[in-house]
Amino acid sequence: MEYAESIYKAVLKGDATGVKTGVETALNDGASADQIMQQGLIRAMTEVGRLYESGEYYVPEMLFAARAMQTGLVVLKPQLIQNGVNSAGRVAIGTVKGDLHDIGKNLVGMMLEGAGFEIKDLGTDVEPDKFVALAQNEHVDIIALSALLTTTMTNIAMTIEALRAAGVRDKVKVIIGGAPVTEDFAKKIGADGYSPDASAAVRLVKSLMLQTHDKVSDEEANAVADY
Amino acid sequence: MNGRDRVKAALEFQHPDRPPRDVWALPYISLFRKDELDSLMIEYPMDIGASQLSPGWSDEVVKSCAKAGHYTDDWGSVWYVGQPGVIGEVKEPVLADWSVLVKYQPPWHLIRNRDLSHVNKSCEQSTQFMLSDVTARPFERLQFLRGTENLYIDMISGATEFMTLLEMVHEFYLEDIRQWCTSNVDAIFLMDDWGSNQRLLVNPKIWREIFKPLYKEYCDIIHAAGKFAFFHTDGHTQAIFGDLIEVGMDAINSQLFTMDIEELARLYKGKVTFWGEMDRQHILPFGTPEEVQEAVMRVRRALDDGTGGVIAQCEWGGDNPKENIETVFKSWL
Repeated sequence: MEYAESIYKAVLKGDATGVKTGVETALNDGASADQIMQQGLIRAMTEVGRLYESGEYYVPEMLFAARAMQTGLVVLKPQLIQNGVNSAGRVAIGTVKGDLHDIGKNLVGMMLEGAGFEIKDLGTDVEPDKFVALAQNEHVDIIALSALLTTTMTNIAMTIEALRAAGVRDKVKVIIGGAPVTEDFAKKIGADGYSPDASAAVRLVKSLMLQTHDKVSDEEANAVADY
Repeated sequence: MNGRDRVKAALEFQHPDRPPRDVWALPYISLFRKDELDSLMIEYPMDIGASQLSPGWSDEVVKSCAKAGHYTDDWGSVWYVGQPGVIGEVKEPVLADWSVLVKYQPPWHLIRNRDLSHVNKSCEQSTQFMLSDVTARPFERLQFLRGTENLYIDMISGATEFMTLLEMVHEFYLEDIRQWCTSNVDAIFLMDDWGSNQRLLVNPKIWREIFKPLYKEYCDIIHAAGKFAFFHTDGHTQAIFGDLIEVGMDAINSQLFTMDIEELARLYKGKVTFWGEMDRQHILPFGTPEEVQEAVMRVRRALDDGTGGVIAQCEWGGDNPKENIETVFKSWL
């Protein structure tokens, strides 16, 4: 699968044109959208995450690669839908009420997209009701909440409380992140997980999806998170 | 000792009578809790004063910033403010599209022919150690002008426009700093937030190639004028702490509590003045006074041996109880 290797390399280099051309060529040559996604884009973004966590990549390199990956995804998406290929899961993401910061949120969204998840980005300054309405009316596996300020991180708790009050808390897993947010805070407010960065968020979401759908034990799911 | 002498003694490791004090009240405190701020200043007089005359903030902008809604800064970028008393976030960067760069000019009018006489007067009348307002912040300014995500891509892709803009911003700040150096302030204030909570935002190699030489140039001008260089940087910046000292920063305000404080002390104590701070992400807003006291004592154990090199500084955010801020300064006595 020569095409997969060229797409993989183009993503790692942040070569958006190379990724787009590589995906188009592969499709024209008869490769399946699912194969291109798995062997090209997802494999590359997994490596990006590894390079970030090993300290070789920093945020700009991760962003550069993620943006390149997205140019390929734009080409692939219609084919994936047409072929009935399911995403790895559906994640709604947003910065909570009162907070306008979005760089971290965007990066988490891009990395999850690069891992095969479908992202519903609600933007910034999102009222708790919007998350509630989404959980009530659409299929969502995970809700990812972000806050950068100590004055707005309390609105993460408020959003979780709103989900609980509306009776939809058990329908979704909730993960949280942002500069002042900690594992302890996540436990205290009843979130299902906390991630310090975009790469770790991918592992967290994967492990929560395993818990949700495959009914694996917490230990098995944690093994995925700690791979 | 007055404030000025105390801070100079701390900077030169000449045994100040106590660590100098400095509080950074965020706009929310000045706007909505001014009485508490005033009473803190009476109880614990501060040793560092600042001259309000920043190149990025004309009077018109100062009036509209930190109020919910949006405003345009003097460089042309539009900021959105989600909560009153918070500085906000650039949402419409003026140079998001490179085609605008051809005709773009920084707000030279703010610094050319600037009258610094009232700054000099306030320096003469004060016994505090006087800081300039914030001057150079090249990394942040580039983010405000281009948008953070665009800038990150620029840095990696090596866009030629990026270098043009970097030079333009740098020229502006050189002139700004040269002017401040003709005034009677004691130190020039520089800043750039370089860290996330876990580590540096950008590769230290890129930082050293692109930004370190700029800071060196700023520090050389500042020192040639007989003044001190004060630098603020948020996040986990341990990877470049030594570089900042190497280029000539005399005092560094960093988020100590995101890093290994004891290791920083082991490596750099006696080589630079630690300009605060206290944990403003957890302890100041959510901790008890006892926890605040313990946090101060941790910093003191690591850095305060009585010779100097440390300033008792903390930020006062809108959600921080006054009791916690008082405890900070009480614990430094």
